[in-house]
Amino acid sequence: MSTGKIRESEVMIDVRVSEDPIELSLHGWTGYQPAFGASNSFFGVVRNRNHGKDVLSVSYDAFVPLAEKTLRDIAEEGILKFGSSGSVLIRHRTGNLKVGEVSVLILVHTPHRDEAFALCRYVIEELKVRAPIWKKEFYTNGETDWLKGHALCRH
Amino acid sequence: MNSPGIRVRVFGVLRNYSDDSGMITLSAGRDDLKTVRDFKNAFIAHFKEHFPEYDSGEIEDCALATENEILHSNEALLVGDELAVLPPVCGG
Repeated sequence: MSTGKIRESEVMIDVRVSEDPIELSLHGWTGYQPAFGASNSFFGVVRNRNHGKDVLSVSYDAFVPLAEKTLRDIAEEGILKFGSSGSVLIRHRTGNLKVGEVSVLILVHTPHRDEAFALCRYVIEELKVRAPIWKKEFYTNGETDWLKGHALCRH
Repeated sequence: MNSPGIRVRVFGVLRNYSDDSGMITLSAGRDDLKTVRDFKNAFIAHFKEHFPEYDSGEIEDCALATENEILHSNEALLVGDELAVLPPVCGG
């Protein structure tokens, strides 16, 4: 683990929170550099069951400007935490998604595989507790529920 | 003359209590609210008056934010900032 300074020339962060479908072809994203020997990705997908209920779809709500800033902060922190260079792409959907649709994509490039795995894991775990994004589940029995989450308040 | 009621953007479960544009208007004016704590007290009072069925204790877990940052509870509110109330988050 490194606590050094980011090498600006070897860092690229690309974040977007929007209604746009997540294109799997983003694997061709140009965040790659010759110094990067490892890539890792994470896809979050809407699943069909949660807390014992059959899920039909999930509606994502987001405070977009703060969510995108938070995700950029997380990406930069992660690059610093596990090295000094890397590329991070994050896409997060808003709006209504059916079971099987991709809600979030994280793609990282780093010099070595250890930091690629660690950085990808760091970004998704921090996203889940820090990004101002919410989800409302729609169930097959007609019920709906805003899911409980992690408080952001600062005292 | 009293200042107009403050309008705030809300998200998540709080959208159940907002207007169609995702905003809630408090009776308190901006001039009455000096700090984040003042705002939260006014927000709780609004819910107790208009939506007594909502557990106002959950509002204590909500954060107040601008487009750039989460605000601390003892922080002064700046005129001109558009404010948002953020319930606990669960993205991904």
